[in-house]
Amino acid sequence: MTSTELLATLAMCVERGKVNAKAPFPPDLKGQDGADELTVQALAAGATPQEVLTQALMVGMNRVGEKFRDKKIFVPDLLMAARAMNASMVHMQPYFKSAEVKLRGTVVIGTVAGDLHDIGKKLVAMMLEGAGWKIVDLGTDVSTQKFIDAVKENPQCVVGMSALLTTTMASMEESVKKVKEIFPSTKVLVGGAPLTLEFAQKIGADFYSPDPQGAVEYLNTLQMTS
Amino acid sequence: MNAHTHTFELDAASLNVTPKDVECALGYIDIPAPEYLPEMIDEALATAAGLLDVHCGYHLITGPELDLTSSDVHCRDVRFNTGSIIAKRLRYSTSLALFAATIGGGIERFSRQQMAAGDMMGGFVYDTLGSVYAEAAADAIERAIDAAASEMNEKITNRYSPGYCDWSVAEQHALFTLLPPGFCGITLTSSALMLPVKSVSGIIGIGTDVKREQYQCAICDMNDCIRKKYLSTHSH
Repeated sequence: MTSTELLATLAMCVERGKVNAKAPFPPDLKGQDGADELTVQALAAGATPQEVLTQALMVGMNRVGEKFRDKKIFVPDLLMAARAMNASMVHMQPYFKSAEVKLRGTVVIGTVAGDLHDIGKKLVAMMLEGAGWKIVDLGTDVSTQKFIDAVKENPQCVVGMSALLTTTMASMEESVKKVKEIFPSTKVLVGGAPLTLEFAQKIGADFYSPDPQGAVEYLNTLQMTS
Repeated sequence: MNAHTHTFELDAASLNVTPKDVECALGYIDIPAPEYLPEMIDEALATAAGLLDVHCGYHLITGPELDLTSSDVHCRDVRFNTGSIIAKRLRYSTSLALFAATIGGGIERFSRQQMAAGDMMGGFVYDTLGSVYAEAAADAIERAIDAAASEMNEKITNRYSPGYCDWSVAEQHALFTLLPPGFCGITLTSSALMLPVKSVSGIIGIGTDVKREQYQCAICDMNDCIRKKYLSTHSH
């Protein structure tokens, strides 16, 4: 296969969650190479690491994000795609370290103070990573000060905040307002089951999405205009 | 029914959670689950049996201590701002059962360990399984209250929990003030999150003139509600 064909096949393997040749899933790809082997082959065939990222991994993850948004697939399918992406990323790490692969930017992400819910935030982080962003995951129960410190350490970052309880939406409001007060040009995204667009606007957040793909597409727009 | 407290423990077998329940909770209601999931779910169900520590209980509050005539629910010295949807459905109750159920922290810890070790898929399956078991424990409480009510020729309403149907989750604090201290081993954080996380609490109305809705989510317009999604998969 040419490098172009290999990148297209790699994108398909990420989309379908085909991790490596040994992986029995999906059944119709059993015995075929997966993201692991195809990444090595694509690099050997002359594809640059940047092309592997932008023309295969990001393409595959974007398709997955769209299907998830449209409720055609569910969280396990998304996680299987992420497994395939991670199998590829193992071979990409040296290029990230040497800065040969250029990431789009940094997203500082965390679940707000008082809230211990982790999974939704992790899914968003995973999708953003698949869209070419470096992720600084602050975890759960993140204080306003911790968000502020992380922005100081990552000056050009975007901030993502998650809340799954109506009671912790107040923490989110405090964190968003304080971050915007100190760093007015820093974009702040918010998400979580009880949130609404109206609430996000009221607290001064720059963007709200009910699904991870919305965040990906918003950040893509930022990248285009920055 | 008289004012008193009942608590009991349950094992995995009595909660009767099936692989199909877990598949549905993972989203695969109308379409088949991917091929890798059944084996993972079977394994998780087998492991979970040793991780469960299920405690359930309810506390009955009767007639003179209730005022259900207004748009909220007045119970002893606590006034729950449940919103009119719930208040309307509890109005004809002669007793209220305040209940709580937890499956303990074992499954949640196991899930977090899996995710920390890089296995997001395994962690997510266990987390979902924990939610299914918590709902199954709440179902068991509901059945127990229904059985007790039936003995007195009374009926029960659906169960209503803070955080759903316009009832603020912050009122979890008020609810627990009416339950004995340390009830079922559940504690609350300042943000009203129950610990262990896989716990359910709420109110069920009891009386001769109350009604149980076949599909209670029809009364509520919270379209992204997790419980609505769960119930829609279990009402068939």
